Amino acid sequence: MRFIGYYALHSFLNTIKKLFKSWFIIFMVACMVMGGLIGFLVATLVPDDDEILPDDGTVIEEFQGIENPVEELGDNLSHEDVARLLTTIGFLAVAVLIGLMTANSGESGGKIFQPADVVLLFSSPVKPQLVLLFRTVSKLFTSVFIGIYMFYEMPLLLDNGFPGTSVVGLIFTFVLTLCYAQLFMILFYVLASRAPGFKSVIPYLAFVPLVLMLLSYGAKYLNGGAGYIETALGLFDMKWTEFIPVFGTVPAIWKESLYGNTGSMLLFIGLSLIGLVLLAVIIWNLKCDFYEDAMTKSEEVANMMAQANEGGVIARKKERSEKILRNGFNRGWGANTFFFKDMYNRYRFAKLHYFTKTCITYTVVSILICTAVIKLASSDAPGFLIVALVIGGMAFFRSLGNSLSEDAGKSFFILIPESTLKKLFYSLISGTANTLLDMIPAMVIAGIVFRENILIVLFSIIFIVSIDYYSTTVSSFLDVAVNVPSAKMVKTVIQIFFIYFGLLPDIAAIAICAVMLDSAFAMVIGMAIATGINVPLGTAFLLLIPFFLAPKGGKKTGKNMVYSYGEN
Amino acid sequence: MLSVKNVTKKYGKLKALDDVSFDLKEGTVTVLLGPNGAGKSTLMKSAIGYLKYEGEVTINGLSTKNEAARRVLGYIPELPSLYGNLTVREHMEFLARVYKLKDYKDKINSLFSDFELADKEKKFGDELSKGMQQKLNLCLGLLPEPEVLMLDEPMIGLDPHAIRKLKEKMIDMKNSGATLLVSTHIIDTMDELWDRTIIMQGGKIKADITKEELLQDGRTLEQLFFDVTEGLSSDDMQEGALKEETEKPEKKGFSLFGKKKKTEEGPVLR
Repeated sequence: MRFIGYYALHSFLNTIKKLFKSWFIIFMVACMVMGGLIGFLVATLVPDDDEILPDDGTVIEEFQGIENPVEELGDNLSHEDVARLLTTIGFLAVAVLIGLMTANSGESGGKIFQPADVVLLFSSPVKPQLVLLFRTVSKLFTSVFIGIYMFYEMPLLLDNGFPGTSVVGLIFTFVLTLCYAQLFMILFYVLASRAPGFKSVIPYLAFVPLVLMLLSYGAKYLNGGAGYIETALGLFDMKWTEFIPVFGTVPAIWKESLYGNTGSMLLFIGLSLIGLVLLAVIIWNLKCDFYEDAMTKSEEVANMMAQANEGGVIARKKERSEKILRNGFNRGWGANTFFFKDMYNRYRFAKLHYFTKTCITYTVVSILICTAVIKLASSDAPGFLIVALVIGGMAFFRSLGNSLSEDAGKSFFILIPESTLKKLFYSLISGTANTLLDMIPAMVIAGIVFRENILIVLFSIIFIVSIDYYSTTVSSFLDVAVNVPSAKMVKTVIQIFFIYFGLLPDIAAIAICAVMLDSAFAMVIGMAIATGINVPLGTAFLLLIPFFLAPKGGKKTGKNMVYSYGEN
Repeated sequence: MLSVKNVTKKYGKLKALDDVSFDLKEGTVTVLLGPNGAGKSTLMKSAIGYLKYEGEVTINGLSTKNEAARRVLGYIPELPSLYGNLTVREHMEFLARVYKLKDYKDKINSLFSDFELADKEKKFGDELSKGMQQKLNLCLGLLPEPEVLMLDEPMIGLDPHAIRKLKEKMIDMKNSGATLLVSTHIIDTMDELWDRTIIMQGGKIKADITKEELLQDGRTLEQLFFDVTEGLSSDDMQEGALKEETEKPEKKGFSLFGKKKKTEEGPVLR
């Protein structure tokens, strides 16, 4: 067992060491300074709560703009309503998170184990369960670490009149959810390795709790006579729901913490911890036979990593259709060939030469939201803005990866005798162009359905593309500046902070315009200003990338550059 | 020491290993030869317990899936896999803890000195060149001082110094009674080391012969390999160099290609 502690301690310390050798510390300081500045500005400019709160004991939530999750409930939400809403979200979030994380458990050999585990541990005189425990502990450690970021929700909760224990409740709920998801993933994986037929059932099994919740909601809505929102809010009012193992006990921590019931909160923390231990004991006593699957998957991962490190492509298992164009493209010259290559590939692989999978997803999401808003919301609901928000959010999360890596990772990229900046720009702009093309059908459909002003539709699209451009450049910049693979999670957090800080001026611009200009075009002007902020900010990050991409002593262009690829 | 009995490994309808059987004695080095896809790595991965298979693999009568058997079983894979967030020394210390080794520091220093890793011990796994990774891979395999060691293409990526050191280590292990099974394509590197060779093709053992037997035959290991794997027909054998040898089995226990006839004393061509 001592090796688990040894690995956890040393890998943690080494990751910190590596981070401090990168630009991590500078970026963390920048995040802290920015956070402090924003906090100071907010404290200075926003009036105290006392000035806007009525004396009747209710909290009037001025939910405005794009961050308003409960706008459709009306302007007056009681504290009780907010607590019930957060409770419902908590119960659903636990079920969704566990469902999503465990759905692919049968295929997760490559996710649970690292290739080195196979070589060093599978052949060692260690029980397979202990090898599983080793990896689980490492992952749980990460889960706990992620939980720290929940502290950032503290001001929001306290500002809304919730007790300090609610932050503790939130952290415990989040961390325990991740822990349960991890253990369920391992349980399903072990069971699937013993009974291959079980593998196909897992994706359905993972979402059974969520489906049951939705069915309960449907039944309660049909029988209760209350509105759909009131039904949703009251879905977890009954005390017994908190005692449902895992899916009740874990969100119950959050629920009880919101109401300041510290004793009950501690009770559910205790019950959830006991459940975790029981689950671990069950896994420990199961007969494990996963080495072959884990080894095969790990070998695949190792090959992919090796291919990716050398800028190679991973061979497809399925052959492509013969109908796909294979004639080559005759557009582009020098660096801009990267742009035309991507555009040609879109034309070549997309359905009807346009509809990529992302584009189809956006379009389907847009249609679903339009239908839901028309059926469920009042006629004055801002349907188009809801679609724009969701599509914008989806585009934002897609941009969190490093879209430059496909081109910049190729060994020939640096050798091409063009300015690195030019090559990066064209590679990046092709991604942005694809984002634009992907979202047009979704946004146009929403615009037509809700008869939205054409300028608002147009500027919404431009605004989202500008966010994509900014977040892509930030993500790519951080990817080259904090090149510590073992600290991927930390890097993602910095990435989100950077993007978050960059988007604050956008929110401010739109909010100020909405307040100051009392016209339909206030939003258009706000988005235009925000776009005007995003593009130069994104470009600033783009300009920095070549300094980190070019090796020490190397020039910024591919000409006459000498690279060292490590020691020999 | 190591006993492989009727091991069959199937991937769907494909038989990667087809009823493979052999025993390896203490203090011997056996070379496992065969063209790509012959089943050498599959055999090793099955024997080590990575793969599910039909049949039985035991060390001193204990299944290799048994914890006690694993304690004396070592495996050095063809491709090194290291942790990016552990240093060279930490990899060794980690494995020493996994195997619950005592007084391992001197062993680690000795291996680092032999494989010229002493000045790299603070490098992380992901900072090493391929050759250095392979050296560390060898050190990790040698650290527990296994009584049965399987090495899959151990020479690949090594510089001549490291190859010489590895050979010395293998000889030392053999002299101290260890059993070694080495899969390789670089046949000549094994010249002074091997005691016995097993040649595989299509998941089956095609030849199983000792060094003495081959010396009597007058051929080199390389010649034997090509004779066996290039599919000489029975007619070729009647007419060619193998004619005498193929006649010998009737007296000494040989069998012809395609026939599974194993004898206790003589070499086997299958």
